[in-house]
Amino acid sequence: MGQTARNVEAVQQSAKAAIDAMTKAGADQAEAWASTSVMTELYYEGGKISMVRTVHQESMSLKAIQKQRMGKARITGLDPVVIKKTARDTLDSAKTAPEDPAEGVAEKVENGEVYTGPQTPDLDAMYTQMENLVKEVKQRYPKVVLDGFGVQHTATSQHYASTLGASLTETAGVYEASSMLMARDGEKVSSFSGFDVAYPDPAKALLEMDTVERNMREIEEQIETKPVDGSFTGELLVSPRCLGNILWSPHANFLSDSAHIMGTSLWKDKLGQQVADSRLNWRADPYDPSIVTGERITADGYPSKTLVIIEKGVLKNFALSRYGAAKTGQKRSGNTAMDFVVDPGTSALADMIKSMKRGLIMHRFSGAEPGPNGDMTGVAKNSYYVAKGKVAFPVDETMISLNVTDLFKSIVAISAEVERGGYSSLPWVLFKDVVISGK
Amino acid sequence: MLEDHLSQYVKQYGFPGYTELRAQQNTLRRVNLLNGNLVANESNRTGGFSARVVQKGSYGFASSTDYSADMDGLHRVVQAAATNANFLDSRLKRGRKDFEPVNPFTRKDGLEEDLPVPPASLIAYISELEAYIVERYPKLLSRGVMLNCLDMEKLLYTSDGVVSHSFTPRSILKVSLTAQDKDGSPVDLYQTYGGYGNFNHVFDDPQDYFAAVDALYEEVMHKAEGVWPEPGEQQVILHPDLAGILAHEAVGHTVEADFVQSGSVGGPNLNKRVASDLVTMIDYAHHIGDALAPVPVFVDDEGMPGQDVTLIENGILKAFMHNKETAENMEHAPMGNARAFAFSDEPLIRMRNTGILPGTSKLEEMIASVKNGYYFIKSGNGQADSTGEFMFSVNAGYRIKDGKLAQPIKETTISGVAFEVLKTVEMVSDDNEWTCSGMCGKKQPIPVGMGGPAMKVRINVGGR
Repeated sequence: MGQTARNVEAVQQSAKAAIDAMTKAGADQAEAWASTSVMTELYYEGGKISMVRTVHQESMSLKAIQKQRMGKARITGLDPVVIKKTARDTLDSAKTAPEDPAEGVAEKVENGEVYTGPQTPDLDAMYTQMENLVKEVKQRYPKVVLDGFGVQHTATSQHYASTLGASLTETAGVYEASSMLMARDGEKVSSFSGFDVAYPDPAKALLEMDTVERNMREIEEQIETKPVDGSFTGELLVSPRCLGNILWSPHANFLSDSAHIMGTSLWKDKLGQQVADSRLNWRADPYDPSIVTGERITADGYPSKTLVIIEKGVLKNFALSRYGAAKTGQKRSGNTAMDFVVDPGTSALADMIKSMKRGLIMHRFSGAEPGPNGDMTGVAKNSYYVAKGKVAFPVDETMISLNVTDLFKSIVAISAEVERGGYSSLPWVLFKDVVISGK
Repeated sequence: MLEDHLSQYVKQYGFPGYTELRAQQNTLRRVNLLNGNLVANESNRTGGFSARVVQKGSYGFASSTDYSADMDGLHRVVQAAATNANFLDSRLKRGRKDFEPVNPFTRKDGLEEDLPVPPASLIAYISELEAYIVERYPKLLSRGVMLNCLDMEKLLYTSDGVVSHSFTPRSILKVSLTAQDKDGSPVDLYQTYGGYGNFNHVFDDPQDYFAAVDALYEEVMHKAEGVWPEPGEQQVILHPDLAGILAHEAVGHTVEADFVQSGSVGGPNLNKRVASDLVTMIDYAHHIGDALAPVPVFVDDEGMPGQDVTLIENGILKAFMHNKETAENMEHAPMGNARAFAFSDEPLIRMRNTGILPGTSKLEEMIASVKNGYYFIKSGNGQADSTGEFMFSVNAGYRIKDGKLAQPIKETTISGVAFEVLKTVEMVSDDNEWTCSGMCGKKQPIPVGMGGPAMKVRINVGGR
């Protein structure tokens, strides 16, 4: 039996043992996640490849419900003795909790096993990939400094089981690379930028992957910066990576369990209504071919399904788990993950920039975590001032202030160009009516 | 409590050169009531064993969740680390000599705080607070009461002969309230309480926090009437709560030596003026005066004794924070800043308890000295940058008009270039407040302490 098969057997047996132990201890319903993984990492810092790291991890997560009272525990290791003790402790914890009729576990929908990606790391290929990027950066982008640059491979086997018959196994392998970047010229230094990409094959050069080459080229331009003059209302062209960060805000504050349980979601009564420009199509799609790390089992134990969030600007679904749906009387969503896909538009990026009267191209947003009212205020990082259709200069100490609900209705154009880094597939989006202020 | 299997391991197998062996267990107990619904009732225990080997300047690290009396199992992890180091050394042939050895010592710290915390007591505590909020303030849109108790236990054996067994508990209560403004939009505010210590030592009676909840309610209702601040550079009084995050984000990260080596703005400014002479900033190891620091570090995860680092003294940048390698590169002394969050993490250069020393002014006179500006009282997240430009969020504050507090403001973000903002410090209050409720993110999360007095500065304010 190969290692992968042994891992699958181990997690399936451990989850079953946990379910049996919780049931024996008195649980009316129970669920268990068991997982085993190996992460292999090469790390570059201080101007050198400095470390090789191997992390073996086994973990279990248990949930028990007795008389509608819930207890949860998470442990490392798959030791049968520890599992039994933890099962009893989880029941004891449940007994002290208040009753909640919405509590439960995943029912059987469609059981199965899914396998994605390479299970064994090729450390030599990873080393070559890292070494090549370091060499190419030194030759082509001599001012760029790589900091905290990591190339890693993770192989995971995980299994979910519940007393309602759910039984789902996922075995996945993936390569990922990430780095902070800055550019240095004597004592002058740029703001930091970065890249993170996921991919199935370490033979591919990192500079050929979406966002990596563009980041290297642009960061060298960003050593000499200045703030914009004064304060004005203008246009904001958001890069794909930055768009992904912005989308986190409505996901957390308008779509998620907590937003609906608390009653603070500004979209709670907007299902089926226009909440964005009709050109916006946004979904959480773990099966998009460009998404390497797509979720296959939801966090609450269901096979992940594609979730259409906004279609032609109309709000189609919230992102509710089984508990959130039961709590609020709504439909459980296909998934609650952030495998975001926004469909491309029809505008060429170059034309979008030429159309800008006065505004910013924003690559990174550094600001307050947006609140439930959708307000966002923060600093535009790695960004450029644009005036009369031309990129004028990279900026510093320049802030933006907007509201996400207004932003979605203020789309001017969506690019035909898309960036796919293995985690998402996103275009450039040009918005209007954003407050931009310098010193 | 972690059992010491490493003593037997070292006797049996010794060390394959420069080596750090670490058994670690993080225990997180979290209960969370959201509008009366118990959305979290969990106990998470993550633990295991790791080895880090350094071979002629190349690092090899390996870890496993399997930590037990199985000496062969422990040895496989150590061998994996040595193999990883050799993989790199055979390719890079750096030829660096081992770190200067440290005199052997043994320490145990905080073990008396390892006491059971029954889940029922956590749930009862937040339930009483939740009931108080519901009864007193029934018109709130929503409320959240959460207890988060994180214990970090580490057992370290190094090839230098350092043995350290430490237990560092942190118990944090978070109360969040959401009201509505005149347009019906949600307006939220939260506050954290607590700090170092076992839950039973930090929290006694929920009624001790009723007055704090009343104060938070008043602040969120003020915020619901808030106006946008004027964008641009403003004269600002920062509450002590914000001084700590200023020290951490504005300065702290730029003087972590790994960031300095990569080119942060801290590097060229050593021994130069970076702040007004009212500013002295220290990264404390384990005590602030006679009081235990919020995140005491007596021995770091490279086996270095924790010592204070005076980062800025009367406005002059004096030091960086190091691990053994960067200290050697720059011919400084390592002072115990190398820390790892989980057993599977390698030590990184981290801040510990970073703060600005109090001055001599009174807060009231500082506010009175501002003709037109702001008093910011609560912060959220923050971020640093290699250029020294920092930002952090402000969740509550007031306009100051002619030396008096005026309208409350909505949340905003403030930013600036650290060494320029610190040169504008005109007044520093004589009080001091510390917190450790946050986590610093830098490849790994980790608890940190932050603190300071109130400060009068000029800073960029986001607004409309």
